[in-house]
Amino acid sequence: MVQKIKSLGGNPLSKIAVLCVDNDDRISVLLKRILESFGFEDITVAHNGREALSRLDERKYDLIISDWQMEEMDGIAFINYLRKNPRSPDFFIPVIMLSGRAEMHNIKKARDSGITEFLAKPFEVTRLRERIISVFERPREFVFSGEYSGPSRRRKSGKSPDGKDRRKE
Amino acid sequence: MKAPKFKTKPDGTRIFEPDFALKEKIGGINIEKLITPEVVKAAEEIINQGKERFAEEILTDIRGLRNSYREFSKDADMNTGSFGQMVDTALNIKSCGGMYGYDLATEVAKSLFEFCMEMDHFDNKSLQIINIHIDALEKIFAYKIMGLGGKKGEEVLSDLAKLTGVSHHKKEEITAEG
Repeated sequence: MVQKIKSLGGNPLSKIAVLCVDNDDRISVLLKRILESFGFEDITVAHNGREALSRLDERKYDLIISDWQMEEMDGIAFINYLRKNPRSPDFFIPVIMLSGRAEMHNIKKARDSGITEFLAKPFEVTRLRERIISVFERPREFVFSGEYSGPSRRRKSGKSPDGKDRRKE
Repeated sequence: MKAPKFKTKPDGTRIFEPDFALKEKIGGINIEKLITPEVVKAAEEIINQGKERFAEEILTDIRGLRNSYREFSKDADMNTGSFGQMVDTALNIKSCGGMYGYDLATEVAKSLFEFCMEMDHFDNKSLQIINIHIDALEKIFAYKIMGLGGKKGEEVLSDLAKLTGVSHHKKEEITAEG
């Protein structure tokens, strides 16, 4: 199926520009290779929030996958800048946060900063796939208020940002 | 580019409609048909291929962790860079160990990370607990212990839980009185 689609009109995912932000080269290289195997071709790596903002000033990206724990500007500060700072290069860009800090209070903190999806590290490839599908297929309303800017924190599916079914818990 | 549609609530909050720009950009194709379970399997194979190399590379990180620990244990000053480096390395090992099948390493690194984050100061005993974590990590990768390491792994985690649980210098002590 994938080959058929690709042979019809090129690889559709080649049109999607992804910015991966992680200070650990092992993770960013691995993530890049996984995304390439998914079919993404336009992938840029930045090592912290500040470098990511520079990349975003240079050109348009469609999706960000960002770590939390980084020196200079961490993932939360980076997303806060994107969502709230008047000089933000892109208020609306979807952000998948990848983090080893997967305790509920940290997930909530990430959600309140305006992330689109959260994925706990270490992650399984199939979970990354799920988050990407969610970003493409189930975009949410985007809220701009005095206290919060980001995708609506209410999900019609009842799922929390980490993908767990909250209603069943 | 289309202007995003929004409505404004009485309190001034603006609600923008869901944006399907990404889906439109790939021609409206359901992305599930592009990233199929077969594609996922191929991606998992990339990780499998990197397991050997990862175990070798991570030993360098653990040597760095040991050096940071040595530096930190001189005065146990939590405001120095060595403490931050130790915590960052623990979090990095926790984050990537499990991706390459080293689940026990992820659990040990998690225990170390949480222990460091919970403490407000370190004495000889708590420094020793850090050292024990580093020893455990070193052995896991030196002997390439995959998964949770079976019964031995269970014992290691249980022992670490006991050690970190008896610490007397946690920031938020939960007492019987609540």
